[in-house]
Amino acid sequence: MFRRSERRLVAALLFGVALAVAGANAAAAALSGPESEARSFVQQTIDTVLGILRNSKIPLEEKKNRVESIAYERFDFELMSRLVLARNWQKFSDKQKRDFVDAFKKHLSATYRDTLNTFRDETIQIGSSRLEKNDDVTVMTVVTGSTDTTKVDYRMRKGERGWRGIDVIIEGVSLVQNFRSQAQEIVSNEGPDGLIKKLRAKQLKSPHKKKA
Amino acid sequence: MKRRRAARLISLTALVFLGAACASTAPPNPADPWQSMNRPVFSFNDGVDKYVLRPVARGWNFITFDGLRDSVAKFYYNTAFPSRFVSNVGQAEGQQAITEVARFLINTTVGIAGFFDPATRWGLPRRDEDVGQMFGRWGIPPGPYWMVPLLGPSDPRDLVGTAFDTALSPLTWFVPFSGVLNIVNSRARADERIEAARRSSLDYYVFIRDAYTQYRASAVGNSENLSDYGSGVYYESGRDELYEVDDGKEGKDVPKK
Repeated sequence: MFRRSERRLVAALLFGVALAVAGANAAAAALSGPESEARSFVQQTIDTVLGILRNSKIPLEEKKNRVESIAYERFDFELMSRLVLARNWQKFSDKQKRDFVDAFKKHLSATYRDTLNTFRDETIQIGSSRLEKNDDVTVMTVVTGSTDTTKVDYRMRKGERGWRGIDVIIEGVSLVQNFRSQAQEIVSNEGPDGLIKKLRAKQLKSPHKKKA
Repeated sequence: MKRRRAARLISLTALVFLGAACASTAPPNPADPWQSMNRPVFSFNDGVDKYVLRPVARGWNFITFDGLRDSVAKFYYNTAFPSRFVSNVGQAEGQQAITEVARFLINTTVGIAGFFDPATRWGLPRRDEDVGQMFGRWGIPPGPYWMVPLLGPSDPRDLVGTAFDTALSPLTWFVPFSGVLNIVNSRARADERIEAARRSSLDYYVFIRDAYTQYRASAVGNSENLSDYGSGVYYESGRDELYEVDDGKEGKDVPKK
């Protein structure tokens, strides 16, 4: 026998479920143009990358090279660098700006190459997406591994050369925001050159690949 | 004898903190007002990790295999059911609370004491929830970032939440030190990620602080949208600034020096 409060709770629950389902349907029906563009761009990228990673005929180093060149094409590293540096960007000379973009790009690439070592047989699914205030689109994906799922969102912006990724947000942690926090402290203590030097030093310390 | 040693240890730690606090002259960072206290604790924790926890975890990695470590993690996750249940009820997430009960019943029986997770395959996905998130949902602010000795990154709100989570885990009532294997196993599973973070971060302390702060904020925000599970609606507000290119035209950004 349900008590009254419990009955009310159950009723509220059922209502909640109904609302949620209705909301999801409405959202799927009302995909705006930029949203579907960005989604298909991300989908196509995921398909290409997974195709490479799952191909057992390609050696690991070659896989890393191919994925890297895809990332170079599909992320806007210069814009990401500007977002990371935020107002510090103005303190950098033109040469420092170029050096930073270059070092940052190499740094991200080295880090990303590392993570490919641990790729097993994850699957990636696109979930919902969101049109942002400034016409960016956030495309949300779920990476499913053997035990866990990880939420990975891509912030996409359309520029002259089409859609480009400008941030990766893993479980709510934005890469741009994270580097911005680190860069802020380093620039204010050690200046632009200190930051560039640190980035470059990190690449030298990258682990040597394990023997093939 | 023992007590005196403990007292000495405590006063020593207090001294270290005080010394660090006095040494700092820079104005406190709003994102981390306790930094002068947090940094030394972080170095200490990092040392404990490098010289105690990591070697043990790698030993565990050596004598076990992926599937076993996954199952151990699932077992502990299953035993933490009461805390997730309470947190969901406390946030009026009735549907998710019921899902938790169903998951617990299925995984404890069919899933053999929680070592397996058939519930996920049957359409009842896991969703992390804890008392700290519930407090956040109630509008309690996290307070300053706090690097807690041995426990790691936290804040006053989440530390109280963690105390509740621990108290709500029946395993800790009946089996003393049952958490040790969980800690070793979790550290072992995260080994590659932790080392990648150590390598890729420019300032490991700031990396952890920022990641923790962002992660908790999104975990609290995320619980508001149950229907968006797996698609994560995060940072409903306050993030737009992050994606604005600063062209220095507004005048307010002119460097002071």
